[in-house]
Amino acid sequence: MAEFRLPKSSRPQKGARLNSDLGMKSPRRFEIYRWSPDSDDPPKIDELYVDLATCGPMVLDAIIKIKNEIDSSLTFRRSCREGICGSCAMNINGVNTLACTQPLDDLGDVVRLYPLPHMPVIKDLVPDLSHFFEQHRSIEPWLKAPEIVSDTERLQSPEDREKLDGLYECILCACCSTSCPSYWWNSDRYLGPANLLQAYRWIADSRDEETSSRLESLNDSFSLYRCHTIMNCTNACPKGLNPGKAIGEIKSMIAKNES
Amino acid sequence: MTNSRPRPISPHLQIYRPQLTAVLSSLHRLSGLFLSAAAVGLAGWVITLGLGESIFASAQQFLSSGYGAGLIALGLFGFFYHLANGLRHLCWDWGYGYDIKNVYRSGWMVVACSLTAGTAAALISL
Amino acid sequence: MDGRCVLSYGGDCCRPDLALNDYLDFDIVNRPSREPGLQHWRWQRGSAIALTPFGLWFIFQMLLMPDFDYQTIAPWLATTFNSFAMTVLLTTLLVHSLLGLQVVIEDYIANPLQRALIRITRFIGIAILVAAIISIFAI
Repeated sequence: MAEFRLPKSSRPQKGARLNSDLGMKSPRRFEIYRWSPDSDDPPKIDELYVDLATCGPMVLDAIIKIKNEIDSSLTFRRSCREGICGSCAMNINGVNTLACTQPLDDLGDVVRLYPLPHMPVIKDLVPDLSHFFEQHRSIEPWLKAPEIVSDTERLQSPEDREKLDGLYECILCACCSTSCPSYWWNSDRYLGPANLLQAYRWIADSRDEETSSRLESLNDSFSLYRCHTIMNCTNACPKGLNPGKAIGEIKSMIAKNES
Repeated sequence: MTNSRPRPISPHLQIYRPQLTAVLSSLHRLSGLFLSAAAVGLAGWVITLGLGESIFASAQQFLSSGYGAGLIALGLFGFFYHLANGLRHLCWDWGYGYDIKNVYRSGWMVVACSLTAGTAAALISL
Repeated sequence: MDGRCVLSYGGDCCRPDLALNDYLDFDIVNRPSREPGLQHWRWQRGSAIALTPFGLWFIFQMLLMPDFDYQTIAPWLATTFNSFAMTVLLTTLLVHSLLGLQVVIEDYIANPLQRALIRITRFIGIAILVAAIISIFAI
C-alpha cells in the first residue's frame, strides 16, 4: 500500500542549532537530517554553519569538515571522494546525487541534506540498502554462457562492446532508484531503475547466452512494468547514464521476444 | 542489526524537488483519472439520449450550466494534455527522445500544445 | 505481503528483528503472484492509438454541433457512421480506462482489496458500456 505521508515516528522535527556563523568569512547554512538508533528521539533537522572560506569545493568536503570540527557524531558513508564508489549518495537540496561531485557553489544559500528518499534509515545520512542489493543479486549480474567453447577469452567485436557503453559505468549508488516515485511505493516488488539498467547490461552483452530467459523473467507486471517512464531516474543519475532508456529497451526487446 | 529500535523511513515526496519529469507524469495520471470519470459521463449522456427527450433535456440543462461548462472545459484540457503526453509516451516506446534534453523539450512542447488546444476548444465550447 | 519478499516499507519501520538470511530474500523468478506484464502494456498502447482518431472525431463533432437539443443530437447519432464511430469510441475508451485504472490501483492499493477493486471497476465499466451501446441502437 502506498503511503504518501511519512509514518508519524518518521516525521523529522526541528533539531538543534549546532554553532553560529560568528566570525565566519563565508558562512553557508546547512540543514541536516539526523536520527540515531541509540537515543529515543524522533528524526530531527539540525542547523549549522560552515565557513566556505576554509572548506573544500564539494558537499562531501563540507560534511567531512562538519564531522571533524563541529559534530563528530554525524554519520555518513564515503570512500573514493571522486564519484566512482557511489557511497556518498544522498539527497542534496531535493535532488539525489553524490556529495563528492556536487559543488557547493551550485547550491543556494541553504544546503539541505537528507538520506536517499523512502529508505529505512540506519543512522543520519546512512540508508539501509540491503534490499536494493538483494534485488541486484536477483537479476543475476554475471555472464551466463554455460558452454565452454575454447580455451581462449570470449571475444567481442568493437561494435558489440560499444553496446555496453552507458551501462557498465553504473556504480549502483541508488540515486536513480530512490528518486523514482514508483520505486517508493512498490520497491518490495518493483526492481527500480538501477537494477533494471544492470539487468539490461547483461541482456545487451553479446557474450551472454541467456538473453531470452533473462527477458522472460523480467516480463512481470511488477518487476519491470511498474516503470511508468517518469524519467526522474535519468534526471538524477550523477554519472549521466540513462536508466529510463535502458528500461525502454528491455520493454521493446520483450515485445519482440514474445511475438 | 544489534539495535531493535524501529528504523524511520527517510522523507520522500515531502523533500524531493518537484521537476518537470515527475510533475508531467502525475498530471498524466490525474488527467487519465478525470477522463475515466468523463467517459462514464459520456456514456451516461448517450444513455439519456436513449431514454427519451425529457431526460436528455435535463442532462443538457446540467451540461449548459456553469458547473457543466466548467467540467467540459476541464475535460477538454485533460483530453488534449493526455493525448499530447500520450504521444510523447508512444515516441519513447518507439525508442525516441529518452535523453534528458529531449525529455525536457518534449515536455514543454506537451504543455504548450495542450494549453493552446485546450484553451481554443474550451472557448469554442462556451 | 508477497510470499518470499519479507521486507515491507509500507509500515512504521523495516524488520530489524529478522535474521540476515530471512531479510535478504528477493526472488523475481519464483514469486508466487508472478503475472506477465507485456499483454497489458500492448493493449494499453493499442487502445491509445485507436482512441486518438475517434476521440478527436467526437470532440470536433461536438464543437461544430449547431445545437444540443434532442431533435439535433438524436438524428446525428442515428446515422450509420456516427453510431458505429460512437460504439468504437466508447469501447476503446472503456478498454483504455480500465487498463489505466488497473495500473493506478496496483500502484497504490495492496491485495486483497487491489484485486477486488480491479474486478469492480471492470464490472461497472462493462455494464455501463453495454447500456450505452443498447441506447445508441435504440434511437
